[in-house]
Amino acid sequence: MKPDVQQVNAALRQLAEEYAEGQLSAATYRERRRELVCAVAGQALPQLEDGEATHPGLPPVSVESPVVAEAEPVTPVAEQAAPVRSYRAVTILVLALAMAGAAGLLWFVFRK
Amino acid sequence: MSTWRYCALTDTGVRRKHNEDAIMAMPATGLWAVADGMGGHEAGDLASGMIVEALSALPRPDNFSLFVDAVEQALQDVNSRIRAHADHAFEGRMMGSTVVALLLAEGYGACVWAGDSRLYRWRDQQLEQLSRDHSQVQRLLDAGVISEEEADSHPNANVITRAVGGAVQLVVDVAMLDVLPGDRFLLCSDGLYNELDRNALALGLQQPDVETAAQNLLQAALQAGARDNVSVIVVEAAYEA
Repeated sequence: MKPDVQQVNAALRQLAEEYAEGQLSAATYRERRRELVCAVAGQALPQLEDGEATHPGLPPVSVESPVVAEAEPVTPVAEQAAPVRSYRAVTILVLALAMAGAAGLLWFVFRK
Repeated sequence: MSTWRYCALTDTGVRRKHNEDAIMAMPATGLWAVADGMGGHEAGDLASGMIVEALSALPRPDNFSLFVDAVEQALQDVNSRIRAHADHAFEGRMMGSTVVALLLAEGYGACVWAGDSRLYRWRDQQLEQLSRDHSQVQRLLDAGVISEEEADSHPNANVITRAVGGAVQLVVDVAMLDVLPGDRFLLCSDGLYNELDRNALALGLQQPDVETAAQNLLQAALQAGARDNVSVIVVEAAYEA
């Protein structure tokens, strides 16, 4: 017999509040949420391996992921296969361009 | 097999120069979302765009609780990326977005949201709001400080308390819902419901098909003045019991 959805949602709200207040770890919060969701969905609780508890179903996404690179054209993406020296060179180049751009902007603002 | 009919529309509105709303619809995955960006042009539409892009890339796990986890995790990742981007590209200026996502399966579903974009359900000629705004006004309402009538015209009506990109830790809300054949769901940004009251929303959703419903709602908001961007997604459970 499926649980009452209103009661489940009250429990979900309570869980979210406890998590927001730091009373629950992320892993515990998600584990308990899965129990509530599975109860409504009528599905068995998924068996997760250690390390998947907080990132189920997706590979980890870092700030330097290719998806981020498309949205942030001014930030160089550090490809894992690139040599360390190339990464430093790109960083130095970007910093130099940024400083040149800032100097140019200051000149434009104060030129009169 | 589940069948979903839907129509997704977004418009800049009458007063705004740019559209910072973003929408996505993935019926094969059973996922729809509206995101309302904030922080001005380039910041707001980038934030909302990152959200819909991340959600559009999600696969559909067999287990529904993992689907909910995946949506939440995608939003957490976007939250981190938005904050990092705001720090170095916008000198720490506010940049973020609300989001409301609808996850559907046959017989049940979930709403995942942060902010004041909303999900409604239209069933048996009744309109029910399924999400609860993360806003100052909602807090006052929940505390009994103001009435619903006062809430509609409250000066802080658009001050939200949660957004993707708004804080280091993003806490989304999740609500489960049951789904019956013929149910219609409305996802919308505040640009819609700030122009149309509940009666007008109900009138729009009564149309015979989802395309007419969505277009009527959008047109009604535009005719009412549409001071903000307007986004509307109408989804119907078109399967038989």
